[in-house]
Amino acid sequence: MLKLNTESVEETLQIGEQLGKLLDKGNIVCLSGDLGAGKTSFAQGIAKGLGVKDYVTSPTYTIINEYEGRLPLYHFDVYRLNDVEEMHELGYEEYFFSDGVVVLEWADMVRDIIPGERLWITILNTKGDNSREIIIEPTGGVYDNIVKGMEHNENSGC
Amino acid sequence: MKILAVDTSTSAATAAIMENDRLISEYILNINKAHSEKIMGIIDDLFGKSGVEPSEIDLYACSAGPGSFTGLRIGASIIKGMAQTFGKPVAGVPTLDALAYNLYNCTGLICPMLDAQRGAVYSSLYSWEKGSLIKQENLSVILINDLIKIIKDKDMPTTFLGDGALLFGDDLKKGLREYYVAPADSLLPRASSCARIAMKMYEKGSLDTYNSFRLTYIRKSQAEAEYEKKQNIELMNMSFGDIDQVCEIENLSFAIPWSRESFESELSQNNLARYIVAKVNGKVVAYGGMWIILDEGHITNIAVHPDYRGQKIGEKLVEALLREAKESNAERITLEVRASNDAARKLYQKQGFTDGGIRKGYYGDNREDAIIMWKKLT
Repeated sequence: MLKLNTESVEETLQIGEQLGKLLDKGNIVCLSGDLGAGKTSFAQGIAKGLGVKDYVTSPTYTIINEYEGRLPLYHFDVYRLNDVEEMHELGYEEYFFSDGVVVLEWADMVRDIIPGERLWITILNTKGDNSREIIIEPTGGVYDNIVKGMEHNENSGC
Repeated sequence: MKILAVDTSTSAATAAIMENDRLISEYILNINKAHSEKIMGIIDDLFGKSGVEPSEIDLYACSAGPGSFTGLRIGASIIKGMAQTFGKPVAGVPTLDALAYNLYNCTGLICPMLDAQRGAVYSSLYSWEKGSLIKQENLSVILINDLIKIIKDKDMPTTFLGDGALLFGDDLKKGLREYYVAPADSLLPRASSCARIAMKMYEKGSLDTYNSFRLTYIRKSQAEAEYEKKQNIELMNMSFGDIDQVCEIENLSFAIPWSRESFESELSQNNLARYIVAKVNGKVVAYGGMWIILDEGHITNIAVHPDYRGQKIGEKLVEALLREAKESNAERITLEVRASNDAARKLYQKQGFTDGGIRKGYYGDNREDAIIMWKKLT
């Protein structure tokens, strides 16, 4: 587990970008945190790190947005789903088991269908200002290595 | 009669205009780009180059599934939109039938298969008899290894097609002695095949309106159920060799976990205790236990490894404990659960447990109440 503290939206975005650079095809990144915690900012950072040129917005109504970067990015926001069953109706497996990267906002709402191996990121607004606590929990060897890469970046001051 | 047919069920986007037995134009575009960006341009091109006006089309056809959910939806929304605009009927053509149509009068078995992720395919088996396509078996969604087994048993030359044939080429090679894979021009869906079936549907009168047409998704929960069956969950008595894995799950599951020693003494010294583990492919993924005290069963703990939750393993475990309690002549069974643990309480309610009382501040870590639940065993 890696805990990082950021002081501004820009810094949160930067951490996302660092992560985006380390992601590989088939990776699944779950984002959880309250409304306004910065999940979409973090996702925008990931998109930047993946080389996505388009402006990334929250797919609250579209549920899934696709972007072309170094790898395809599938950006989910499942806030408006009523039931995890709706993920099946969406055909989520086409995206989860594909050649792209999945970033999933409000991941805790569909926990049942999330594969055992994934990167789980919790963004906490503990102080009530622009600072955030970002908790990054890997499950599985692939994700352990990603977190090691991020730790390395932190230590080297990148 | 003119037909416009569209198939976007796989990575290939294809559209065709046919007039009775004449194929006027057909387009296949198999590039790595979203269908939403390809298909409208293709249709526009078909009309432009062939000089046919959209208003001349008498029947709109598209693949009705199975296939990629997103792809199917794109094709269906275009066809429905055009059919509504021009007030014409819709033919929803089964994707696998259309694929089999690519190989007219082919001998032996035809096995179209489409990727359904996680080692599964959408498939059915067909054969041609005197120019008519016969569906031999509807396989719905099936694991590739099971499909290979079925085909092996049939012992007939089989031709595979669809994106699954490429994806699982190695599995086919390993599992089968004699088989064929369709060449590139007939491997993936072709809108002309879709249009030919649409014509047959028109003759039979089995058409839809833009409003009544529905895609046939093979629901993934179905696939999931199959997957679960294949997971091979075994229930057995806990043995000493299981304790390491049990402790790992215990630590992952509870704020105040039992120690290794507790499990050891439960197994070796407590004659009242019954412990069961659930194993998937030999690995402990869940366990539960109880004490049989006279005519009552007291469930001590139940835990499922976090990676295996939501797969009904907890339910199977509770069912096994209930059976065991009955066999030990218990008449009632009880347990305590954290008041906030909704998932567990729901699971127990489903199994027939009802709330029977509260132990105030029972849990030491946060002084949370325990709900006592009971079930009669009859």
